Parts: sequence; C-alpha cells; structure tokens
Amino acid sequence: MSVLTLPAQPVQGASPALRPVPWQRMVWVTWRQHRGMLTGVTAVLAVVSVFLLVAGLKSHHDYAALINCHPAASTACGALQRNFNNTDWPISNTIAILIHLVPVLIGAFAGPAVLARELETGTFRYAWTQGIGRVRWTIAKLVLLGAALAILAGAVSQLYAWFFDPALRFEGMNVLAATVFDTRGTDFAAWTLVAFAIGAFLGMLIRRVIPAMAATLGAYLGLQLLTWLVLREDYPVAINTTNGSLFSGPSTSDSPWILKTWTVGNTRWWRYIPVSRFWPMQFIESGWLLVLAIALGATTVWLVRRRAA
Amino acid sequence: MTSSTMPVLPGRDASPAGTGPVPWRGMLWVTWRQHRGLLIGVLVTFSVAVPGMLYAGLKIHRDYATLAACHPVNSAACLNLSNWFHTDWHPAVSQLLTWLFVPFLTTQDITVLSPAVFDTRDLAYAAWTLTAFCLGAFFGALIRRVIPAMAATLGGYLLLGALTWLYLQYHYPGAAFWPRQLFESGWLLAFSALLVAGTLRLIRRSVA
Repeated sequence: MSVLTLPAQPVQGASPALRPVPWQRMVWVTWRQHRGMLTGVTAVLAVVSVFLLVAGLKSHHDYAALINCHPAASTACGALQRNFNNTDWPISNTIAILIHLVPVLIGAFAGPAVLARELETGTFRYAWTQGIGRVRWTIAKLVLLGAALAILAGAVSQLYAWFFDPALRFEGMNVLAATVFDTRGTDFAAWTLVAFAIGAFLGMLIRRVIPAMAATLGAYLGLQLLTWLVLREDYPVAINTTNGSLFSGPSTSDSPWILKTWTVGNTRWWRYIPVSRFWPMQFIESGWLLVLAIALGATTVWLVRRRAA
Repeated sequence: MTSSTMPVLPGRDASPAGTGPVPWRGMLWVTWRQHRGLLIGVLVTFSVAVPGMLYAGLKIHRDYATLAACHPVNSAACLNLSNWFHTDWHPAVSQLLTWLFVPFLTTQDITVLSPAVFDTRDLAYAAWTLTAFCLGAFFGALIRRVIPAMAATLGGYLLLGALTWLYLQYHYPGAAFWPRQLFESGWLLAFSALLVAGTLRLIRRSVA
C-alpha cells in the first residue's frame, strides 16, 4: 500500500512558520487508501442503476398502458394487468427486498476497514504519526468517506423511488409503509451514513475487521427493528383518532398509514399518519440518524485520540 | 493467533517406514481452534433466532388452530377471530410479513414449490448454505484477500440465486416437492464439489 509521507509536525507552540498540513491533502490520501472500496461500491451501484433504469422504463411503460386502457374489464386490459403482475411486479418486489441490504452492506464493507484495518496490520503506527495528526486524519477520512457513500446511496435511492413508483401504485402500497419509507427521500442516504458510522465505530472498538463487520450487521439490524417497531410510532407526526371512516374503502397509495389500533371500553382508537406528512417524517428520521452518525463519529475520534499509539 | 505445530510432512515418495503422515483426527482440533470464533458466533446467532421462531411459531399455530376449528365460518365470532388473527401482531411486523408475501398472495399460489418457500425447506436450505461456504472458500483461494473475497462471494451467490429463481427452477425434471428437492440439492452438491476441487487445485498450484 502506498502512503503519503509528510514531514512530522513539530510540537505545538513551536515556531508559527510551520503550519499544520492542510486538510485538502487528506482527499488524496483517503482516495488512495480506499480506492478499491470506492471503485467497487461505485461499480456495483452503476450496474444496479443501469438495471433500475432499464426495468423502470419497461415498468413505467407497462403501467401507463394499463391505466390508459378502457374499459378496464375488457379482455385486452386483463391481459395488460396479468402482464404487469407476472413480469414487472416480481422484479420490483425482489429489488425492493434487496435494496434494503444496500446501506448495511456498504456500512459493513466500508466502515470497519477505515480504522480496524490500520490497527490489524499495524500501519496505524505510521498513519497516526503523520504531520496532520491522528485526530484530523480520522475526522477527514470519516467525513470524506461518509459523505461520498451517502451521496452515492442517495442518488441510487432517487432512481429506485422512480423505478418503484408503478409497483407502488399498482399494489396500492403506501409511501409511509416501513419497507417503502426508508428507500426514498433523504432516508436511504441517512441510513447508509449511519451504517458506515456504526461500522467505523465498531471497527475502532473491536479493532478487528471481520468481527467488526459481523457486529455492524447485527447492530444495524437491531437499530432498524427498533425504529420500525418502536420509534416510528412516536414521531410527532402521528395522529390519534376514533373516526374509523378515514380508513374505509380500498387501500391506495394515498390512504392514511395506520400505526396501531386499540380499544378503550367500546371505543376503537387508531394512531395514523396522513400521507401529506411524508416529508416532515423524512426530516425527523434523517435528522436523528444524522445526529446519531455524528455522535458515533465523535466517539470514534475520541477512541482514536485516547488510544496509545 | 495460536496454531498447533506439527512435524513437517515428508515428500510423497519418501520412505513409508517409520513416520506415517499426521492422522486426520489431528485436524479436528486444529479446525476448531482456528475457527472457534466463527463457529461460536454462528451458534449464538442461531440460538437467538430459534427461541424467537419457536415463540412466534407456537403463537401462530395456536391462533390458527382456534381459527380453523371455528364453525360456522361466517359467524360474527369467527370473523372476529379471523380479524384478531390478522391484526393481533404488532402492525409493523404484520406489514412486513404481508409485504414479503404479497407476490404469493396476489397470485394466490403460496405452495411449497414457490421459490421463496421451496429454498427454505429440507435439503435445499442446507445445500444452499454448503454452496455459499464452498463459494467463499473458492473465492478466498482465488483472490487471496478476505474482504474482497467476501464481496465476491455475496455477488456470486446472488447471481446463482437469481439464475436459479428466474430460470433454472422452471426447467427441473419432475413437478413434485421431493424430486425437485433432491434435484436441486444434487446439483448444488455437485457444484460445491467442483468448487472444492477448484480450491484444492489453486492451493496445490500456489507457491507456498
């Protein structure tokens, strides 16, 4: 592995003529050390994007033909319906399952390697004694890699949201449904960032790459389950009501999203979120995920700082 | 890392008298010693998953038995029971399960032959696990670096899975569950053996 060599930084308080190594140099170092991972992730996401584009064009085309078909009960329309159900929908659904693996896989492969690999191979002795200092070295790498991965994932999720749109309408699924909500808007990028931060943190804590990767998978799964089963119910966008007529009629993409129902005496209660609150809910979730990612990053830097080199 | 030290094995053509090769049994301990972290980790994960599935499974079976035994089916009590069976679960859990099963529900053909169900049963699940492991070992010997090999294994497995789901399974001989299970496990086993042979060849050829 090639590493940039820089003159050692003098002790602080020494001659002001010698300034610390500028931050920009870390861009090159980060790229040089992680180019395999970055190229790999970009290549995989590029292949996924091409697939989404091709399948999405077909799906949009088929769906447009289907909704423009009149009368809906005719044999010709029935054939279009079967065609969508047998070709576009299985692919959309399979991709919908697999897309949930993207953030955690990026996190597990990219996160632990940032610090645990240096510790495992002993190269941290070299990396952390460079002129820039180990704290700035770590901050720069975490910020650069985290931002790059979140931007890549965010871009793919926008394409995916477009790809999944016909399937969403065809099945009357809701953008607030647990499995749809975190694949669109700003949420997918935020989950990717958190997965990366969890990976980097566990890498520094466990100090071995592969156990840290396994731990990242487990921790991410735990956080997702916690969010799905507990936290989302309590976002301040949900409304309690006894008006059951809101939920009658066929379920469409615009139906309110029911979180839970319960009965007090003879009265049935619903807790739900109207679809119009999609964006506030996105910002709440992305917001706390961002705060969590920053907190994990800060703890990682603190661990780097207090570890004896 | 701790590893056992053993006397160097003499060349194949060396004198057969005196020292025989180290017995295979010796490798049992070495394998355990080198991979105990992984083995314990997998066991722990399963031992968390199994009670979870048992708990949920017993509840589902009990609720379903009550529902199935209810007559007449259209009575208010039975409808109430049916409603309860569908909504008693935490909404997020039931949404997730429903969503996972939507493709089968829409076509109304959840059978043991549906790809998502077929591959989780009996021999096929074990065979896929074996193939995944052999694929990992093969890529490990080929790439010689753990993490890139892990990534390659994921990709290779996904590709093989997609190929089987979308294409191969439609061309199996036989339509019944067990012949298909045997056929799929059979070709996966043969493929695993090929991968092992390839791995061994790579190891023999590589300069130690």
